[in-house]
Amino acid sequence: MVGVLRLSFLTSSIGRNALILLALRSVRPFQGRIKVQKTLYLANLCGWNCIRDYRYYNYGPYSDVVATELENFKRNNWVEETSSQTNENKIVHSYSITAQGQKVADSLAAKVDDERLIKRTMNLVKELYKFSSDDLEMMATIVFLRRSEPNLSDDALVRRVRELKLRFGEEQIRSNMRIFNILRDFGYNPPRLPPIAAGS
Amino acid sequence: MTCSEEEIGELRKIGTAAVLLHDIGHGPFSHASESALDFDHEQVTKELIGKPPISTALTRHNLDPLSISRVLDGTADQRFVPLSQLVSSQLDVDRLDYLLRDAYFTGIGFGNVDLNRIISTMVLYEKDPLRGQAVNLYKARFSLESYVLTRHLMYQAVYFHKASRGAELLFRNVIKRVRTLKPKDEVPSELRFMAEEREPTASEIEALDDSLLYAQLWRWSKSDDSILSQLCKRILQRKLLKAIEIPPAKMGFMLDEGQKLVQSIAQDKGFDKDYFCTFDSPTDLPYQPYRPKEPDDERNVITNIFVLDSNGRPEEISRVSDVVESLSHTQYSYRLYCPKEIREDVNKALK
Repeated sequence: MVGVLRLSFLTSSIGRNALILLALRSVRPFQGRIKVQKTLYLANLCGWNCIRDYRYYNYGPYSDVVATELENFKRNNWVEETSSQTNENKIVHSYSITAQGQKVADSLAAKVDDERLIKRTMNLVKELYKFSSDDLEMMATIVFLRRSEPNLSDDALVRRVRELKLRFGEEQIRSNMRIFNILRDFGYNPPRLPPIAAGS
Repeated sequence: MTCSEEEIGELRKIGTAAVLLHDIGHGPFSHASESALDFDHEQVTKELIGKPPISTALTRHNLDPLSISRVLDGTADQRFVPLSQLVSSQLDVDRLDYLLRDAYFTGIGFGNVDLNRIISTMVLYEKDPLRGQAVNLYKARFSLESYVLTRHLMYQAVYFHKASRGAELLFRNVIKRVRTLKPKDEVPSELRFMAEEREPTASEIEALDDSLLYAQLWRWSKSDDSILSQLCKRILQRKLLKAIEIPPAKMGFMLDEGQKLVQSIAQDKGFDKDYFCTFDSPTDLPYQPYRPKEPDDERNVITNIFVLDSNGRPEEISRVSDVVESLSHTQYSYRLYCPKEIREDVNKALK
C-alpha cells in the first residue's frame, strides 16, 4: 500500500510510461496486443495503480490510454512494432524496445526509485507472458470481475466469466483462477469494495 | 435486435438510471482530485450505487443496483450492450453532454455539436461483427466529423489548457507534500486518510467538497512548512506554474539530461525540484481526442465511431472523412511546468 501511495506522487504519465516500458523491456519482443493489454492490467494492480481507464470490452479489461501510449512510443522511436500473420490468418503485433526506448526506460525506472517493485514487476511480466493470449484474457477478466463484485463466490465468478466468454469452457476458466495465487506473490492489492446487493 | 415494448421500457429505465448515476463517485474539483487523492471515481460510483440511500431508491423503483453497476462497467449481458455503449464509448451521452456544457460555460464559440442529427441517425446494427451496437447512418457523417473536430478543439483549448493544468498540478503537489509531511494536526478529520497513508473510502470521498478543500488550502497556506505554504499560496493567488511545450521527440532527452538541467536551475533559484518542476502529458487527462484504433485492435466497436457506408456496411469514421483521418495523426505536446521566475532560464537551457 505504501508503494502505491508513493507512486501516486509521480505524475501518472511518468508511472504509466515506466510500467509500459518495463513490461516491454522484460520480454523481447513482446508478442500480441491482447497480451500487452492484459499483462499491463494485471501488473498495474501489483503496486503501480497508475493506469486508471481500464474498461471491460470483448476481450476483457482494455485501456485506451495504454493503446495511445504505445502509438506515442512508436512515434517517439522508443518502441518498434512489427506484424506477422499466423496460420489462422490473424495479424499478430510484436513490440521491441529500441536503444532509445531502453534509455528512457532506465530514466523512468530511476524516477520510480523502488528497486524491489521494478524487479518484482519484471518477474511478474515474464511469468504472465508464459501464458497464451486466451489464458491472459480469462485471467484479466476473472480479476476484473472479482474487483467489480468482490462478494462473488468462486463458483459464481466462474459462471459470470462463462456468461461473458461463451467460447471458453468452464474447466478452462476454473484453471485460470490460479491467477490469484500468482498475483499474491507479486504484491497484488485486493479490492476494497463492499458487496452490492443482487436482485431488487 | 428486436425488443418487445416491455423490454424497451426496461432498457430505458435502466439506461436512464445508469446515465444519471454514472458520475456520482466524483470527488471535489472533479477529475483533478482523483489522481491527487488516489481514488477511482468509477469504483466509488459503484460502491455508492450498492449502498443506501441510492440502492434503496433504485430498489423502490424496481431497479437492481447490480444491473446498473454492470451496465456502467461494461459487464452486463448482451442485451445491455447498447446501454453500456451509450454510457461509455467514443460517442456516448456523457461526451455529447460535457462538450456542449463546457463550451457554453467557458464561452467558447466552436464547441457546438449537432446533437439532434447524431441522435436521430443512430441505429442498432444487426449483423456480426457489430451486432447489437449503435452505429450512425451515412448521412450523419458531417455531424460526426464536426463532433470529432469539436473534441479536438475543446481538448486543446479547454481540457488541456495550460493554466487549468498548471493549477491542477499545483493542487496535486500540495497533496503530495501533505502526504509526505503527514502533519496530523494540520489535517482535518475528513482528510485523515492522507496522514494514515491509505486510499480514501467511498464515504470519505462523498464527504468532501470544493469548499472544504479551498478552506484547507487557505489553512495550509499559513503552514510552517514553506513548500506547502508556497504551493497553496500559488493556487489561492493564481500564481500558477508556467508551461513550456516539449515536442514528443524531445521527451527522451527531457526525462534524462534535460530534466537534470531544469532541476539544477530550480535548486539554484531556491525552488524545490520535486514540487515546482513537473511534467504533464496529454494522456494524463480523462478527456481524450478521438483516436481510431486499427481494425485488428480490441473491440473496435466501442473504441471507434462507425458510420454505415452507401452499401450499409459499417466503416470507421476516419475512413470516410479526410478531416477525421487528418486529426487522427495529431501529436500533442508534453509540457514541463515550472515557476515563472525560472521559465526564461529553463527555456534558454533547453534550446
